[in-house]
Amino acid sequence: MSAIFASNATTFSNKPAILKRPERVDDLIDGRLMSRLDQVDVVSRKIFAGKVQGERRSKRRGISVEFADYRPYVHGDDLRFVDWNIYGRLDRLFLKVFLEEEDLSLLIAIDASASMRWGNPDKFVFAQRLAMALGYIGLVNHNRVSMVSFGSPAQGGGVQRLSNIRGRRRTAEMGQWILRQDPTPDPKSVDPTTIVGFDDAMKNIALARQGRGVMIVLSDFLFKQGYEKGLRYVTGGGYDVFAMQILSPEEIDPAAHGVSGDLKLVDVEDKDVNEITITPPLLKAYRDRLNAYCAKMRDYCIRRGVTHVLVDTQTDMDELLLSYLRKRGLLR
Amino acid sequence: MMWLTPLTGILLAAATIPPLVALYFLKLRRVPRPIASTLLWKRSLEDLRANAPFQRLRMNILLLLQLLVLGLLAFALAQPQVETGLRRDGKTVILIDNSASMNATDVSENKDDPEAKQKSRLDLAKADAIARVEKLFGGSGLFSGSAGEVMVIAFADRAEVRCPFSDSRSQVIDAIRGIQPTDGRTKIGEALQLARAYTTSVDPDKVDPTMVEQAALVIFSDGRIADLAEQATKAGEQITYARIGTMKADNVGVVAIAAERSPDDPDRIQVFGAIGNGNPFEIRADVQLSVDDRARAITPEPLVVPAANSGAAPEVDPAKRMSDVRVTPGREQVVFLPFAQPRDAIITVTQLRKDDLAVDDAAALVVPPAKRLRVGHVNAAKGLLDLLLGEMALESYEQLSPAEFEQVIKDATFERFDVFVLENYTPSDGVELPPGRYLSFGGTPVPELKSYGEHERVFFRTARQDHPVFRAVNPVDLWVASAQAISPPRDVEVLMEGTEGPLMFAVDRGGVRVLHVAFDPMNSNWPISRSFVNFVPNALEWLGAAGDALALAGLQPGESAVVRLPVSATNVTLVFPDGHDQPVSITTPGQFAYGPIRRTGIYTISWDEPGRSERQQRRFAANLLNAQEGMIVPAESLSFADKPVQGTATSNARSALWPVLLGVAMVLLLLEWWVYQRRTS
Repeated sequence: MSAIFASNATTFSNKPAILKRPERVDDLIDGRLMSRLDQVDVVSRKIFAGKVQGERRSKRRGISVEFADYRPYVHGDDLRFVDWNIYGRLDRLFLKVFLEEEDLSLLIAIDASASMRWGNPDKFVFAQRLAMALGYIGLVNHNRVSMVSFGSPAQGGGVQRLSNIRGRRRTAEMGQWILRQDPTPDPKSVDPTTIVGFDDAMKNIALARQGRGVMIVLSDFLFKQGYEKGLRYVTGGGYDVFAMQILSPEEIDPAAHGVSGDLKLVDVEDKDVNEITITPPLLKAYRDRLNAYCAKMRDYCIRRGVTHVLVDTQTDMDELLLSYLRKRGLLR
Repeated sequence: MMWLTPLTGILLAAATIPPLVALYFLKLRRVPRPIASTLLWKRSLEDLRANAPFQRLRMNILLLLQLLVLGLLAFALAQPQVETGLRRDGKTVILIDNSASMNATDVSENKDDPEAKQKSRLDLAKADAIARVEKLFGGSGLFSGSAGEVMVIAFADRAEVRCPFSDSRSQVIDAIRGIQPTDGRTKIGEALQLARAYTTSVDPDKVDPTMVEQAALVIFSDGRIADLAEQATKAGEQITYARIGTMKADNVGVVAIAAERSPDDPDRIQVFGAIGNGNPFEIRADVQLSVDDRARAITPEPLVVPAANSGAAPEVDPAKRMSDVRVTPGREQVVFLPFAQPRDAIITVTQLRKDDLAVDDAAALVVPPAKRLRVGHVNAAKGLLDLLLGEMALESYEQLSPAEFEQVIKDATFERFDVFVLENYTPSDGVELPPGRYLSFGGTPVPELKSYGEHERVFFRTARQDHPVFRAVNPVDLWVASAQAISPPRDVEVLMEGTEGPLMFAVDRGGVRVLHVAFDPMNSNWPISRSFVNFVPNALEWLGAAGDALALAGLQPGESAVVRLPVSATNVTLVFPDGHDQPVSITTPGQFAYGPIRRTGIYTISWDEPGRSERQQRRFAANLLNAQEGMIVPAESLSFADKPVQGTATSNARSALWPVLLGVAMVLLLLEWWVYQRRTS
């Protein structure tokens, strides 16, 4: 195991991998996990303005029970908030200002490009389950949950949306939407040029942004054109971004997972062919390159105020959600 | 580099290497494997290539190994030979030195190796030459190919063609095996002439009729060649010098021996010797004197012989210094006390120090019995000569008139005289000098010395001072009023020359030995000089000992033995030093001739003589007595007059290159398998 994976370990146990593709919502999240997730909420390190009154402290002064400040009365102010005691003492009108509690906007962006349909356990299945769990947490905490998938060949390669759902009862709807996303490459139906890349998808999301909130990007971030430009679109101030890099065990340690001999590697996205002969020096070079790639991305994320979380698809979902992401400050 | 079967190798290479490379050009059948993104793999490959400059090479290490294996196999099948200077096609002349120094037993650096002690340098040279011939013919068995023609010449003081150009392997090898050791000196000139003669062919149809087919000459020798500086290589001639012998060769030998009976007391013999040291360091050797194989005396203390002197700076490596041909051996004289020996005897001087060359460790002389001369003086004029002869210690002295002398010839009673002194005597018509020894003043004793006129007022110019007759004779003041003008034939030796022409001759023909002085002493100032008084006894002694001269001086290998025998001798046999005998036919009455002498030792001639019941015999010795031949440290290079030819050390253990190549190929094959296993596992 490479250095970065040793230090930033996301593999918590060696439980058997989940191979089955989810067909029902129950396959994405089970009742036991749901009950445990009821206790958890999504945390934003920033305080954003919500749209409707919610359970979250807002920047706005409003009508919650939490006192914030006084200010002089001006015409038009709600007389209900005048502090009459002060008026009695000072004969001047002051208005009590309370902290507003609002909802949180949670946007989960799922990379549905063909490269995600790879690995054992499958990276996309892992991303689906993680999105489902995080979405569920958002719903139960009355946050405004939006979901975006991009690059899915089965759906024409464009950006798919599920916008602004709230409340636990929308869980099934969200689950169905997640199940519909399919990164399986289909050479017949998709023109590769129409597939939206990461940069365009992020630009799209940034342009369509309604309000502010937490954005979680689930992807392997193995983009040949780079991830920097895309992340720059979404880190402009609108979102508290969490970049969750999902990698399969085969990508982390190819030698230990049956990658050997003389191979013709075919990129599932652009069909790029690479002929290699697996040798110890090549494996070492690969590991070094992967470490360097991940380290570079983490550095980039730190500079941009993005939280970078590296996840192995072998990771147990319960532990990831209830322990690791809490430690990393995404959940509480 | 030489290839015995290049075609096989080329065929194998052509049949296998291009297909192998072609197979590699075909794409490896790789397993297609979909992957989420090739992003990281692509960059890893780039990293790997950027970090490893030989990545492409390493990627194809299997191809490289397989190419190497195939290349080596093809190389091995072509049977490469790394012998330099060896040419397969064309002509090769193998020259093997079988001189005395090649009898040295320093073939192995390991002096304690008992097997090596058995072998001489010649054995090694023959083995090396056979190995070379085997290689020329491509070895024996499956891979043998045809060779060019090979000629074998053995050379010592004479060269001998052992086998003319032949393409028969067995004939050449038999010829090499048949080379026998000799104790001769090393001379290469004749061998080179022979080799060149055989490689030159004349085509009368061509404008330039002489065609020289350049041959490769391979010389197996220790490089101690006396006449090397007189030889030049020819343009295009390819000479290889296979150096035989080790640089640690150690030799001390007897380089001179002489025995003399005292004129006053002929029963006593005094023996002189000299020991030569061929080593670059001082040695101590005991020297022993034996008479008839019984030790008579030994030096009371070991004789100290100085190191051989090269004249080079002392810091020069001794081995290198000794390899220089110009080195002069160290030399020390030894003199034994006179001892009484009236009878004839074989005197042997032996140095007792162990060394690598045995042949020069002893030298022998046959000393004739003590005797005085019987002299006949023909046509004696009353004068100084008459007086001189009368006063000499002779067995008998008789004066004869020319008529009496010719009567003696007619009666065949001339054998009662050892020497005749002829004074102004010219034989009458029809009379010829019989076999015998003559000191002649003036006249024309033999037709070869017929004068064509007279020279007036002749002064002495030069004399053969090394000749025995000039011992203690220095005729520098000689002046002759009138001398015979003689133009001698080539085979007549001129011993003294005057300003106008030769003055003294030695003729040796068919048992007739004449020492002729071309003037009457009374016509010169010679009789009043002391040199004349010394000359006459010297001349008589030299002539008188002529039969025994051989015995006194001994022979050197390469020379011919000429021994005076009684005219009536029959059934002549020569017994060699190793004991075997050989009947010899006498072509010239009264003279035995055999040559050249090959080995050192005591030779015995025996014959029957009418009137004597027992076989008569006479012995003579052949000794090496050659300091240069005793320098046995091999020369590093052959310094021909025009250029040096560097020597290559030879050894017995040499093998063809192909087994090594096959071995390496197999190791590479194993390596290739291992690399493949490592990759696929």
